[in-house]
This record gives sequence, structure tokens and C-alpha cells, in this order.
Amino acid sequence: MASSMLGFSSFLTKTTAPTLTAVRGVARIPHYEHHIRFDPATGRKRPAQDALDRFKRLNNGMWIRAHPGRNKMRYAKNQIFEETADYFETSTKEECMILDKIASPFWLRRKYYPNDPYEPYHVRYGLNSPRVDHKGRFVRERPKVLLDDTTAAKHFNDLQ
Amino acid sequence: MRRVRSIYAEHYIKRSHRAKFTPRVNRPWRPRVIAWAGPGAFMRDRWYERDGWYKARIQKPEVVPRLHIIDPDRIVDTFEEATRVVKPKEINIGFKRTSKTPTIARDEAALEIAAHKRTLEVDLSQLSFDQLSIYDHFNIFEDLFVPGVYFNTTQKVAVRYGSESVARGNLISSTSIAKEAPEVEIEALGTDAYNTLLMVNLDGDAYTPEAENEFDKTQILHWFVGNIPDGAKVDSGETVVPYLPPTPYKGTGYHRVAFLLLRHKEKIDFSSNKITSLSLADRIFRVNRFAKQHESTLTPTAVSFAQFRWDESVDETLHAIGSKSPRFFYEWNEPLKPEQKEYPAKPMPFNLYLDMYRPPEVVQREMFSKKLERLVHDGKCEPAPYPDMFYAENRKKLPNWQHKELIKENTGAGKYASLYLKSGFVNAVEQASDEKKKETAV
Repeated sequence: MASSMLGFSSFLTKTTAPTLTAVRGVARIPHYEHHIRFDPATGRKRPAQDALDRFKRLNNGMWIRAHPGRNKMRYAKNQIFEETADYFETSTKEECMILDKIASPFWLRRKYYPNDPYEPYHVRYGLNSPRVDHKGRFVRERPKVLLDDTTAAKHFNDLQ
Repeated sequence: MRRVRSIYAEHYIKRSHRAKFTPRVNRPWRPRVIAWAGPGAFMRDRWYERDGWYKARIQKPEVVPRLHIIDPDRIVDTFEEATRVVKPKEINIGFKRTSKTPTIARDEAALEIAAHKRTLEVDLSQLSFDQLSIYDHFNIFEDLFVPGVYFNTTQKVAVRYGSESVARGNLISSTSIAKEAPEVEIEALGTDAYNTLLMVNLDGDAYTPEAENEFDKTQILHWFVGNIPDGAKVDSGETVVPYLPPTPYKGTGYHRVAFLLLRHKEKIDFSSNKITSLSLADRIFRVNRFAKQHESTLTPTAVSFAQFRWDESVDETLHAIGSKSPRFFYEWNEPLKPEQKEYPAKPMPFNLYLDMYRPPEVVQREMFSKKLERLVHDGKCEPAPYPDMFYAENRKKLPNWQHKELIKENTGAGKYASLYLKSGFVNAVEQASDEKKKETAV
């Protein structure tokens, strides 16, 4: 449009044969619809990219996140905030469950990186809470098992 | 809380149970300020004392700092009663005290004028210190003899290490001044008797375990000079045990070193008390047994004591006698930790939370493997010259917790102290601080 206004329309516009290009549109969906269970391209589960940008998963199942609002109005905040705002915090059980669901199975696998700064934190020590409650139900497991137990045992074996 | 309507709300799909709105939660978007902020929260002058983002004036309870408040109404005892040291004074093993009032020429009128003008001076050297309360406070008589035993000071003794004298419990500035035997001046009482001087460290015995009955206290004998004639110098007596400087070990605090003066009419044969070996263990002494042995002849006349603490000279003394200088450390209790939760309810700083529950063996193994890696790759494992050479870059690039860990690793703080130590992990913190001191010492 700008080119036609300026009078260079014939020079700039090229006429080419129409080609078939697969256009992937970004649908305007509300945030609670971000869990894509079957994506149109492959029919597989897609992880929520926003969650992967904001959270980090440790191999023991804990999701780490930054303190929300840490960069907001720092000039008006006190000394305690200055020290604690930069902490990377743990998430609650429900949050970790939800994050595991909205991330694809790839992100639930054990990751081995060289010179990983999070290496000492992939294994938990000293967890003595009971595995089973008074009715015999597993306490620490997720209600829906993503994989069968043999496959799960291959990957999720570091709750010590 | 604003409830957002989904754009797919009107798209009906049978049996999908799709939500039309964002979920309803039973908590307010903003805190109900009035509930805990107080009735003055939204008063007219609410902008005067703003506290935080909720722009309300809150009435906080006045917190009085917890100071030590002395309430005179609660004090019942008189000063004398409150400061009285209750120690039984049953047995006097010394001489009877003769009270001597020094005769001083007094001009009453001149003295009164001087007192009025505040120019009156008291000559303290004319006064004698008679109270025994200071010896009670430091438990001198109990630790030398037996509870209930005491004696009055009946002879003047001046023990001096250069400029510092040994009086009644004073702290000697540096143990290095005690390398040589002190100058001792014993008052001549005029009679044909002998003095015996004993120098003992009341807290120095680290070899004997504490006895069940506490009466049999042990000391370390540092100096024993016997049979000093009246009026003569200490050199003229026979040195039964040669002088050894005080050896308070590092980390054991202050040691009381007492100089005990005894008087006897005739010469006593102290050959059974002679010690020739250099070792400290052979100098273990029991003043009570010694006094009991010579009960009929010896009488204590004076005791003066001072407090010594560790110094590098103590190390030299111990090395000279052929033993090592031990290091004592206070064993702090394990810090109390709450029970660990797999998913803590409140968001915790993950690295600090997980580090708190990691067993020390795992930490040691990690540190050791790190040390080996550095030795293999760099050939050496030394602390960095600066806490962080690339501080500005790392501050932006690394997450905060990682940057802090890096600085700790470079300086050798906390668990990283064992990276830069020659041997093992015993007293890692103390060894690291010692090495730092050596570096900074000129």
C-alpha cells in the first residue's frame, strides 16, 4: 500500500505464481486453553511454551520458578525483599502436577547436562514422609499415571 | 476477582464440560484491609502513614524493644546481701593477721582544705589488700586446697613480668612476656625463716580426667623454688622445678596461674618433688597433697594470681619441651531443622532448602570430586585472587544463587573451605581461618 502511494508500484510489486505454503496461525485462545493435547500438525501433545520459559524442572520432579514481581518497584522495597527477591523458589505439589501435565513427556525425562549447575539438586535426600496413606493409596505419586509402571520405573527412579 | 469469559464459551460441544469462565476462587483480589489494618485504615488522613502497596494506613501495635528493665520496686536485698559471696570459711591454714594501722602525720586542717578542694590524694601503696572475696570469686582456695579452707595474706609479695605485675586475677596482655621467670620481691619479716614459692596453673591439667569427688584437684607446676632465706632474693633458693612459661592451650580460654608463698622455720628437703623431665604431663601437681604432706612445717602466707591466654609463644614453649600444641574447638550443636517436605507448602529457595537436608558425606564427596577435577585440569587447586574476576558479567549472566555459590567457591567459604586444605575435613573452618590469618600477617 505504501509503495502504491509513493508511485513505485510497478517496480516493487512482483507477480509470481501462487505457491502452497502451510500457514500456522497463532490462535487467540485464553490462557487456560494452552494445554494442547493434540496439535494439528502431528496429532501429539504439545508443551505449553510459556510454562517452559518460566519454569525449570529438576530430575526429581520439582519445578523451580523465579519469584514473581521481583523486578517490580525495587526502589520502594525493603532490604529483605532485596535479598529474597532473587531466590528461585520451589512450587507446590499441585503446581508441579499441573506443570507435568502441560509439558510433554520429553520434559519429564531425566536430563544429563555437562557442567550442570543444578547437578547437586537433582536428587533429594532425607525424605522420610510415608509413601502410603492409611487407606493404602500412594501419597507421593500423581493420581493419573502417564506411563505404565515398568516404563515409569525406568525414568522416575530418583525419589530417595 | 474479575471473571473472564472464554471466547469458546458459546461453542457447544456435547459432553465436553468446557468451562465458560475462569474459575471462582474464594479469596479476594486485594486483601480485606480493614480486617487487620484497623479502623483507621480508610480515615481522612490515610496518606500520612502509607505502608506498602495497599495504600492504607495501618495501626500496628507498638512494639517495645526488649530491654533489661531494672525495677527498683522488685529489689529487696541490700547491696551487701546481694554481693555477699557465700563460701564456708571453716579452716584457716595461714597465720593470724595482725592489723597494722600505718602512722601518718596528719594535719587535720590542711587535710580538710585539700578534701574540700578535691586535691586530697590517698597513697595506695600504704594500704594492704585484705579481702578474700576475690579469691572466692575465682575459686582459688577451693582449687588449690579443699572447700572450706582459707588463709589471710600475711606477707607482701610482688611478682612482676617486666611492666605487668601479677596481682589478683588480672589478665596478662600477652603470654609472650612470661617467657622468662618473673621478678619476685618477698617482704622480709625479720625472723630467721625460709620462704618457698610455687607457681601453678590451676586450669592447665588436660591429662587427668575429672575426679568423682572434687576435692583432689590437680594443677600444673611451672616453677618451684624452695628454702629462700628471709630477706634474700629468689635466686638464692634452691630451684626444685625449673621455670616453664604458662601453656594455656588454644581454644581453652583463660587459665589462672597462681604464685603461692609458704613459710617454714627450717629447711625442708624437697628432693622427692624434683622434676627433671621436660614433658608437661610429668608436671602434674597436687597442691593440697603437698600442703598436707608438710602440714606441720609449711604455712601459706600469700597467694597472687593472674590470667593467661593462648599466644604464639605458647606454641614455641610446647615445641621446645618436645610436645605438640593442641587446638581446642567448641562443638556447636547441630542446627535445628524442620522436617523436610517433598513439596513445601510455602515457596522455598530451592538451593538453600535442598542444601539444608543434604547429608555431610555427600557434600564431602562432591567437594572432593571438585578438588580432583581442578587438580587434573588445572594442575592446582588454589583460591582465586579475587572473589569474582568477572563480577559485572556474571551478575547479569548467572542466576543469583549460582553467582553467590561461585563467589563462595572462589573465596573458600563454608563447605568450599575443604577445597583448599591440605588434609581432610577435620576443623575445616578453623584451618581455613588460620591460613587466612597467616597470609595477612606481615
